[in-house]
Amino acid sequence: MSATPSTAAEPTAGAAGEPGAPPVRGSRGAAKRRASATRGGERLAGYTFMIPWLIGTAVLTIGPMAWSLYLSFTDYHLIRGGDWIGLQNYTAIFDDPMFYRTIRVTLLYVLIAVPVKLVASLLVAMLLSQHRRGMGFYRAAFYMPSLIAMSVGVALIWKALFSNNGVQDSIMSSFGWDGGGFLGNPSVSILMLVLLAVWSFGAPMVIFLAGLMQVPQELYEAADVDGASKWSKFVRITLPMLSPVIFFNVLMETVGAFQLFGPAYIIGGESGAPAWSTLFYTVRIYTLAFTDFRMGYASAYAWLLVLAVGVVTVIMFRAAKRLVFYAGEDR
Amino acid sequence: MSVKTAGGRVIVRNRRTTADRAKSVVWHVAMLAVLAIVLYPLLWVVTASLKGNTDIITDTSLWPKTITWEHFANAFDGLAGIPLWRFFWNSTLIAVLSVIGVVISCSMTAYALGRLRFPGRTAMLGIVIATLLLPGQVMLIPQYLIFSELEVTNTYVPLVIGKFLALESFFVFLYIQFLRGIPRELDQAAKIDGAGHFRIFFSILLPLLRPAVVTSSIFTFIWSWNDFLGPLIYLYDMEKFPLPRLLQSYSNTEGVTNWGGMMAMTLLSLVPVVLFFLVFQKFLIKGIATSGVKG
Amino acid sequence: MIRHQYRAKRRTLLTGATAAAALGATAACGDDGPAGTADDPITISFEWWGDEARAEITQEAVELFQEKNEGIKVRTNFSDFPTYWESMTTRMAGRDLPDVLNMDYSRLLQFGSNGMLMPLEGLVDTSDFLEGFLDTGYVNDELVAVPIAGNTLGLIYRSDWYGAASVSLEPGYSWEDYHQAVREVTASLGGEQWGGGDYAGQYHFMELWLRQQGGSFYTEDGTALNYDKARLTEWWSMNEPLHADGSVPPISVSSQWAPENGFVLDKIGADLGWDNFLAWYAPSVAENGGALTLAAPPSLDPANLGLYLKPSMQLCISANSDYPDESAKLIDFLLTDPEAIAILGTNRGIPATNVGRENVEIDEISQQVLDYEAGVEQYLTSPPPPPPSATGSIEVKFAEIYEQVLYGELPVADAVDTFFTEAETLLAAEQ
Repeated sequence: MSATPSTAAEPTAGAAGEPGAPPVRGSRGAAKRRASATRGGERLAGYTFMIPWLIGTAVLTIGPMAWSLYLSFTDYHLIRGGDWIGLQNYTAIFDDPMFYRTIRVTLLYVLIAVPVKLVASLLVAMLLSQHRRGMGFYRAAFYMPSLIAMSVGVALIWKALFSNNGVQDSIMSSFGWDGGGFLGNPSVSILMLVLLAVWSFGAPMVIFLAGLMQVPQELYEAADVDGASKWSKFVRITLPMLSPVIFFNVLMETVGAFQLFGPAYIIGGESGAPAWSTLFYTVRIYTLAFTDFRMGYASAYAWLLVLAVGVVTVIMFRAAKRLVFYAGEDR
Repeated sequence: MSVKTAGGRVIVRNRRTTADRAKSVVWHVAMLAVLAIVLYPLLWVVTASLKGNTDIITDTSLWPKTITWEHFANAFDGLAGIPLWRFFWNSTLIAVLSVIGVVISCSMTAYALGRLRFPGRTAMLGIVIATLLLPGQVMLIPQYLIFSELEVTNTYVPLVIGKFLALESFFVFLYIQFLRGIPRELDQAAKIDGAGHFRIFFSILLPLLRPAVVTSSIFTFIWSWNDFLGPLIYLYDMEKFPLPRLLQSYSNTEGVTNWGGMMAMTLLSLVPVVLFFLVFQKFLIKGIATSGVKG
Repeated sequence: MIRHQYRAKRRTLLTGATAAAALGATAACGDDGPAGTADDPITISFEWWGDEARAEITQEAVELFQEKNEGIKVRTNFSDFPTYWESMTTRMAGRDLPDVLNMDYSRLLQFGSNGMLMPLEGLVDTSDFLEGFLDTGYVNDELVAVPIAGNTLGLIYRSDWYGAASVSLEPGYSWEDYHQAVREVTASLGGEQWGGGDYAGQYHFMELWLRQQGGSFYTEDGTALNYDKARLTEWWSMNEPLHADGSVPPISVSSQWAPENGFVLDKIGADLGWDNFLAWYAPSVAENGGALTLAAPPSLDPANLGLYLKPSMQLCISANSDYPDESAKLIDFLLTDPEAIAILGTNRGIPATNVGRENVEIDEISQQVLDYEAGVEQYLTSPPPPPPSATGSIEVKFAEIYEQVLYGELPVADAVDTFFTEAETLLAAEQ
């Protein structure tokens, strides 16, 4: 990035520096000499500090990625090995009815869970951004579910809540909906996972809260003077000022939702029970790779996921360029 | 809560009208109602674990008619003669190793990427950010093949090695964010005093990074405590199972016949996370808010 | 620096462990006499599937084995059936199987044909097995598995419910007769109980039905399905009328019974199943005040029931075992030691050895199973060859796809197409 010596690019430690900073010693020439010596030292130190990451990234990230890309062009079977088969895995995937199933399930989940979770978290964040007594307690309490939501324990609890005659069934029956537990009903079973996602709204909520705290109060006061309604203040001030945070949350939640595994596996099992209705893309990858041993085919599946997530990310960044408002940013 | 707001509030309270007070009560009641809905599943499990086995899942009420501690006694017996504490120990071991690994390797990596200048730095930073968004599934299979080739499956090595090699990009990112908040003048002053980069990092910056260390430790602990996919793929000896695998096995072998034991065990497995949270919630919430780390 | 110390320590630990293991291995190979002494024991591993009750008695037997063989320690591990196979199959890839492992006939070829299992001839004592039992332990003409017990299919039904509804299943009854019986019993029960369960989701039952017509599920060489789509369409349509009039439980209900069973939960009155499962269901049914009985399965042809004697469970030694002799000792002990047999009882089925049959305590339930097996003995025909390696996955797909039909997600014709595609892909992947 920078060909300029780093020391020059830094703001000089002047009057604004640390009160206890020692005065600059030595002549200009000595400083220059020392600067170039430090640069060599800095380079060495930089690489030294990076050693763990460099090894890890080479062996456990870049290497495996290259390998899985290669595998995706083979019919590699965990026991039997495999041969290069070119694009056959990819063409087979597009003829694979299960592929479309998993896409349907995953997209349905992403498209429902992410917006609902984000709207819920924004609403609660706005409620919690007021100055009232006991706010710390509320924030903590609302945040807690998000820490445990992805655990096996909670997924098992979820199964109990949504089984026949379980809590959800009992409650809904008392309202006259006698459809049994979501757990056994393929047309609504995905809702269990959506609700689980929504239940963990605490994480984006806290990020929204931090964003809301940074919106200058003067803006609202000025709007009050103009007699603006609550809604117009929300649309004209809150949303634009919050847009970087919204973008961050939308991006992270979407990417995360595409990769949901644990709860889906516990609730729906390998086969995405009932009736493939919870057969998430990642569960399919897992089954193909670790129970059917079709590692080549599974790798092709995984690469299509990378591609999809990549495309979604790029689209979001493009959209962000037009929609996200960075206050005071001159980037 | 800061002194300032507390002071401000005293003044406000003196001027409060009845209407304000009523409004405030309504607000709190509404919030508590929402909170009750949100925390209902947890409360339900707590009471369910104290109910008799017969109607355990059908009973929606939060008050057990009769209280029994038998489920907890059962849960402590663990599975297959392996006591529950053993699984707790396994989970703790994995979590603690992960924490040590993340704190050391991610902070070092962040120091290099955030503070030092060397060729290739920008590209490496780019890779760190890219892996934040990269679906891990794509590396799963080759990683499995590698660990299997190295004959370290059924050990904790595959579960923690990535933590020691700074592959938790989230935390590298978090440390970089925190480092940005520490004035560079500090390291420069030390540099002029002749301190090397290792000394600067370990004796000056690392102590200042304490909030980041705490945040990353707590998150690493909780995430590794909850992790399921890693143990699912790499571990098969029941004696080595962490809690999530135990819960899965328990539900598979005991199934619907022993919901009570299941609930009690589930609850016990969540206790450390909840405790951690209660103790460190200020750090956590601040950490997540300032760095954008997800929960 | 903490980090380096830590890493160094870990490395020494790891290398230390490897060295110790290597040392143990060479020591074992070097000795001609019995490897391992009381002071320097060797350790073999033994894994099986099952529940806690099975684990307890197995552990007890293993402890007795350790007492009697001082130099040998046995490390045990168990899990439920699906998890067990998930674990075994992944570990097969890493050549990391336990020394002694529980085998299922449907998986035998997958492991045996990949050279994962040690030939047992001359290693394990095979002199005492009942006639016919060893036949199913061969892969490529080599004995790689010995049976613990045998079982065969039958119809398990609630004699109390059937009696109360005055419905009887006369020998030689047809599938249509069976359906009629289920219908009548369901009608007599009323409410959340049914006279029988849907049976079309299990490939073993379809295999039975195919065998009754002289067919088989897989071709002789195990590379393809041995029936056409019309056949499967017919099979998967058999329960349709029963669902239409509510005589069998709807899928949304029965799918939530797992991992329990409709008998145990007091929900169903009859189902096809392995005869030794009676031991699992009967105690719970008795608790609910009912009684279970075994009958021959329904058949298209009273002279051909399609039955064969299948090993309910087998024991194998991993080809990579460092201690084949000690592993064989454990197998011999479990199958022929009178005390071990007394401890293990009929939990895994009625023993397949003479000494086993003499020493096991036959309770009422086991006697029922024995009587049933004696009754259908004349109908037992030669077993099909071990099913292909992909059969585990195919079995799962078979159930999964039939579930789509039950949920109304797929018409039968589409489901059949889907299954054929999936099965052919899975079979091809193993070639």
